[in-house]
Amino acid sequence: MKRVTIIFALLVVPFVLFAGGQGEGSGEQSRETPEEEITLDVWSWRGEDVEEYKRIFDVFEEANPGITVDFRTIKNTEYNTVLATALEGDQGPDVMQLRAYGGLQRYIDFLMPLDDVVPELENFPNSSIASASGRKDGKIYGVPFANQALGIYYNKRIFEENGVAPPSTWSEFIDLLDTLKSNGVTPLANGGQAAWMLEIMFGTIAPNFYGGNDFYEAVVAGETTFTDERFINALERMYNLRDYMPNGFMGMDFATMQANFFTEQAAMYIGGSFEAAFFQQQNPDLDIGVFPAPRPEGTNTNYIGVWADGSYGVNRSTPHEEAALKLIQFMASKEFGDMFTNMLAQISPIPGVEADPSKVPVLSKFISFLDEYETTPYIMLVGFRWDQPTGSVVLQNALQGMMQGDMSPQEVAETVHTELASWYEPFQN
Amino acid sequence: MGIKEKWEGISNSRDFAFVVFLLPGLVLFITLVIYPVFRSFAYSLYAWEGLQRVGFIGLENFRTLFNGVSPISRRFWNAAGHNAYALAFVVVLQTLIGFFIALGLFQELPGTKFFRALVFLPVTLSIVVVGFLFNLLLHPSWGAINHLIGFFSGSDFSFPWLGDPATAFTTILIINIWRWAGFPALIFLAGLNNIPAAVLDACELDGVKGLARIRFIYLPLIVPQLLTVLILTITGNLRMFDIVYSLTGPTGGPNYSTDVLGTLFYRTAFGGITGLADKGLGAAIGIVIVLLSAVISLVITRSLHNKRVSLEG
Repeated sequence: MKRVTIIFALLVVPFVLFAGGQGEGSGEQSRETPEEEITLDVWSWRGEDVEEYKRIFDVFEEANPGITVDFRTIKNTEYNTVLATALEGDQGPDVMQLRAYGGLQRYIDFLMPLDDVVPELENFPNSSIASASGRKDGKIYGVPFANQALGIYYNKRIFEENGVAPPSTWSEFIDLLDTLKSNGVTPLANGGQAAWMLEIMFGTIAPNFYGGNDFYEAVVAGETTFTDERFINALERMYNLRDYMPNGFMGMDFATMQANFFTEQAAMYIGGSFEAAFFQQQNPDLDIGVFPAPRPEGTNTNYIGVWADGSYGVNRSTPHEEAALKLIQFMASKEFGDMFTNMLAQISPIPGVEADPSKVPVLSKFISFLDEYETTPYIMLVGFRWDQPTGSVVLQNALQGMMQGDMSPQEVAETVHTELASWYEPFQN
Repeated sequence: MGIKEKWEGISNSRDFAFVVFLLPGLVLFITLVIYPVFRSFAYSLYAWEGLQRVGFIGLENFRTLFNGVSPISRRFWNAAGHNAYALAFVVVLQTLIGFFIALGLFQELPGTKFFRALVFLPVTLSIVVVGFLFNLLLHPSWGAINHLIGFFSGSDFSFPWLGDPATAFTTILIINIWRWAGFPALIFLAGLNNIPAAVLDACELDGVKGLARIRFIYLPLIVPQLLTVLILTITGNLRMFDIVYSLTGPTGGPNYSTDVLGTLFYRTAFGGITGLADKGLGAAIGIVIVLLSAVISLVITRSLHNKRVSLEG
């Protein structure tokens, strides 16, 4: 008899738990009357920013009594999967962080178009709006939250000790690398196990050699392809940097290459503005600067690779539409942008936002790059992530082959072209 | 005979009891295994755009997967090749190592209990721990393994075991064997312990020793265990995912040199960070993995079944 009871309990418990879960959900909905508390679920992949986001949302909650923001973060690498599954199963959040460009498209059927309901979007820069728009209908589905820029970080102390200064041309850069190397300093902190960081490295140095926006526009239009000599030349420049990277760099993941830099094991780090705050948190004594990727001799334009990181959108079937829209309008305001830039040390695309240089000096330097130099789209993310295999996936893996020494720059260019030609129509003729 | 009597007749029969006792398990099995497999198969017959089904395309996804020309097909054959290599490498080595560990433990030497626990320890470690541990051990600048080699060779040694396409996958497989070898060892040991004392005594008397004893006494008597081990190792290898994910990431890097069907399925079905999802192709890969596992298990069960030896009769 006892055994039967146990078996019965084992069978019944999961159903009871399941029913309990559903009960909770329906309870939440029935509670929804205007004068009562509304809780907005907001999802994000920025686990490292929870504290700051909570402080920012406190400001919103104070101005909007009755609305509570429940900010939940999901691991960056799992986020797309979790969000997609939740939306499909009608369990999605009210407001959610969204990937940019091609990464946004799969969610569009679940999102509310914001063109008419968030007037602030009219003043956003076009490059940011493009990242949050539907490719087919051109409608805006999110309020962009951050722009990223690429550059080369350097350790001021190591530079001083070796009597070197930031270079502006490529040959100066190579001289600098040689000097450091002959002085026994590892010049570059970058590794190759995290394939996406190789794409970042390429996105930083390559535009100066393939010719920035001219090439970008031509290749997007299909007037040229990735087997263009300019693109191969750019790949060759990156290939030549292998000699200046740490021993065994192909076995170094993202955390290791960052550690190489902030523990002062290497003099420079090719990376993005998204890392500025992290370096300073990890080692507050670190005295670092940043310079734009060096230009070829005989030219006078330094290109800065840029992209929009993503946006915040509203669930089309949210039961709290009014509150969710209030929140998203707040996230498009200068008030939000100021807090976002200065608390999270990210570049907000909201017009008029300024960074406080005393907080993250390197970040204000990045922001000043955007005015001083020519910006150019981070090529694969902005232009070639609409279908699979995405330009990023193809380039990243081929770059691993090249940096390992298994593929030549020419072969990388051919691989990128053939794989993209499988879906990118302008390449198919 | 009235309905009542009929019902009593049914409810008292042995078959009825079977059905009743099978029902709870059957319901769970159908809802959690059978239904998803068929659902996946249905998914694989459609074209998808993001999360939406856009049209029935029959076996087109499978054709794209197998044609050898499309980018996804090149990834598929590359990953399948790695699975085949893993099957040959791991199944042979892990089973052999497991068998010899079991033989060692079967000798009842001093410390056997301790070693039995030790051998099984890696199996109990979480994959996250294993991944973290070996990423540290194999690290090019501060990894213990490189330092050890450097120490013995007398020079600085730094090699990216997981970063070099030539060594990355084999390294992963060796870690996999390290992790799992205790499992076949314990199963074989249980099999060896089941051999009746009378048989072993007869061996002693007849002077059957060494290889002959292994070949003619032990092996035939542990065929059921061997069958279990082979099927679990083979299907485990076809489903290989977590160890690759934790050591070289979901893209099976560098440059797809550690990509297996499991990671390819994950990326294709869910997209990853910089990729895009194609549910139809993802489901097709899933179905291929299921079919391969089923067919190989069936073949092994069939071919080993008549090698079974019974001591009775």
